[in-house]
Amino acid sequence: MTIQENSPLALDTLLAEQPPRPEPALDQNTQAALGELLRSMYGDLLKRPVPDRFLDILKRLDETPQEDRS
Amino acid sequence: MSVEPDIRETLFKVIPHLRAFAISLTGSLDHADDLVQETLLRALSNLDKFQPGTSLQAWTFTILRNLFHTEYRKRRREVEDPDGIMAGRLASLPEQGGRLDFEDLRIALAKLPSHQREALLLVGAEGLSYEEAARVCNTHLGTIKSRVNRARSRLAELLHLDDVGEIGTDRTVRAALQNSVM
Repeated sequence: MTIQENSPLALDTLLAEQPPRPEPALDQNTQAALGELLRSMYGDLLKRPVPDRFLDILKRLDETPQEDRS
Repeated sequence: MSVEPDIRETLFKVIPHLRAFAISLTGSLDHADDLVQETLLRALSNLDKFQPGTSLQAWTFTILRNLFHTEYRKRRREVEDPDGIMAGRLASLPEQGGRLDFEDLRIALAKLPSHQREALLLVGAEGLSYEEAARVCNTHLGTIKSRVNRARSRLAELLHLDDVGEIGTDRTVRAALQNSVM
């Protein structure tokens, strides 16, 4: 069953009863969806294997004195 | 110079976070890894300036973030990406189990001004408090909050998440209406 043709009035009434959205902040659902998306993308990046060159930098430090690079 | 084992251990753990931040900030894996490498080298040669008891992770994020901005100032390049040049690079990032919506997100992130992008990544992805993010970005708490809010609004707009919200509400209302007329 689809929504009845004469229902927009009721729809408007219902929508009008929604609490006003705080501005400029997003509504909670949108912010939650965005947060979830950001964290899952970031989580994906966090899982990438660390290249050896970075581990080597840390390992080297215990073996040789660190020269001033600049 | 010998590095305290616990500091080295912490740095090991921080590397994936530095990379994730750098990749999302720059949109380029190569650029990100250059930044991470330079950050590690600087952190290690400046360990005497690190204050024990404070967050080593936040300290390294500060170094990386400063390097990022110094580079861009040197290149006299605008960090913002209105033409989507960086967005194009982002889209071609090699994926590991990549998802289409992640690509959309990265493209949208690239369109944000860099100050908004970094603020949102630190708070919304890395999970720093507003206070920590403000220290990393060397700015005020209110400024960070404002940048995060603007970044969220703009991203929601670019990703049409706000539309989804509207439709979601609409659907709920319609479902309620349907139930009531049936």
